[in-house]
Amino acid sequence: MSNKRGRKKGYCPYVDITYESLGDYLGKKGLVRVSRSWLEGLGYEISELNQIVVPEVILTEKESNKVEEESKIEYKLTHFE
Amino acid sequence: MSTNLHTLNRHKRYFPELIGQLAVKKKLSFYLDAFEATRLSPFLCLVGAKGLGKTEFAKAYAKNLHNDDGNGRAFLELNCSTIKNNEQFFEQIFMPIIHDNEVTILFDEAHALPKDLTMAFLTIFNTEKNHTKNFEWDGMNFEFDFKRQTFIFATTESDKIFPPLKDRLTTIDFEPYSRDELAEIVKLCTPNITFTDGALEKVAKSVRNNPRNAVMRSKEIVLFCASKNTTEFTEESFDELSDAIGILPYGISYTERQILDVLKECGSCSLTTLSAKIGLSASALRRDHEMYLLNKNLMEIDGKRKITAQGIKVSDLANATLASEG
Repeated sequence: MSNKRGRKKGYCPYVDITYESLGDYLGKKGLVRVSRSWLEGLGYEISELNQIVVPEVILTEKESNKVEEESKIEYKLTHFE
Repeated sequence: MSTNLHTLNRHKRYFPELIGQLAVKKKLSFYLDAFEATRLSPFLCLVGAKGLGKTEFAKAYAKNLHNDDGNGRAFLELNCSTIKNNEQFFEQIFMPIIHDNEVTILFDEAHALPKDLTMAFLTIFNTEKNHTKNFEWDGMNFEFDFKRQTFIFATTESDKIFPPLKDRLTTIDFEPYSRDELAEIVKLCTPNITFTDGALEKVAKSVRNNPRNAVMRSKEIVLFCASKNTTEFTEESFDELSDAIGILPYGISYTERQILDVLKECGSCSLTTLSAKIGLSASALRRDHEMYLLNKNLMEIDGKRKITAQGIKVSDLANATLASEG
């Protein structure tokens, strides 16, 4: 009987997946369990009743990203005959 | 003599629909001839006041450039004030439209180019012998082939273009249009209307030295003639049109008329006084209104602002026009 137990060397319990790919599967409202400290690290606040409060800073950042995404270069392409 | 004739024919062949700007046409025709032989065009920078036809000339120039297969080359017009940074330019414009394609690109309002793209252009347009240039940015490589891609810049404010970039461009200066050329533009835009000589002169006088205004005025004349069911435009027609849409002598604006009135009343005054009386900022007055009055010799600045004898005449005429409208 082998006495080697536990995880193999180099094993990691986490894998990387893009937010887009995860979103395709779960949709925008899908619930994802994340670590409390990771979320706090992003700036979110978690109340004693486990309610998540989105701070003003994140809301502003989200808004400015939206504006950035929406800014398109104005151009006109003409094809001469 | 034969050389001059050849040059003239060349202009007509390349720019059959554009009036005036002989020096510009000559220079551009030279570069078009060179393009036919080498497939290369210099990086042009068209410089001139607003409404002088920079975009029209860029378009006409581009129309004369052809792809390797002989087909017309596509023409891309970009408004530089809407370009925010390199990333946006390479993602939205370079990769989908320019890369690996044969296209002429006009950077309009070039003085508004963002700083990082200006710096990128310093490298890209620093060509010596090769007609290709590889530009590395953000870990990616972008290839420019100047036999396949022609770059033109246009600006009203050449002093705001970063000087090292300006050094890499070939400047083409636009000059003001003469009254005869403006009249010719009006005629070209109204092919079904006949003008009496006096009427055409009056129209040309009212378009503020500006071909864009001449085109707009032509549209108003076409509407006027259509509403009157006529194809003839006389001096009386012009007076009637002026009365209807409020065209003042020399095409001055209502604010310019106010300036003349204030100067006539005060004799002479400072910019601050003028600004207080008109209710516009000093910079707006200087930038948007005084220039045309100075150009037409209707006012002068000699320490203080003063109205000229010609300015008094025009002011009286404008007020008479407005009184008759009332």
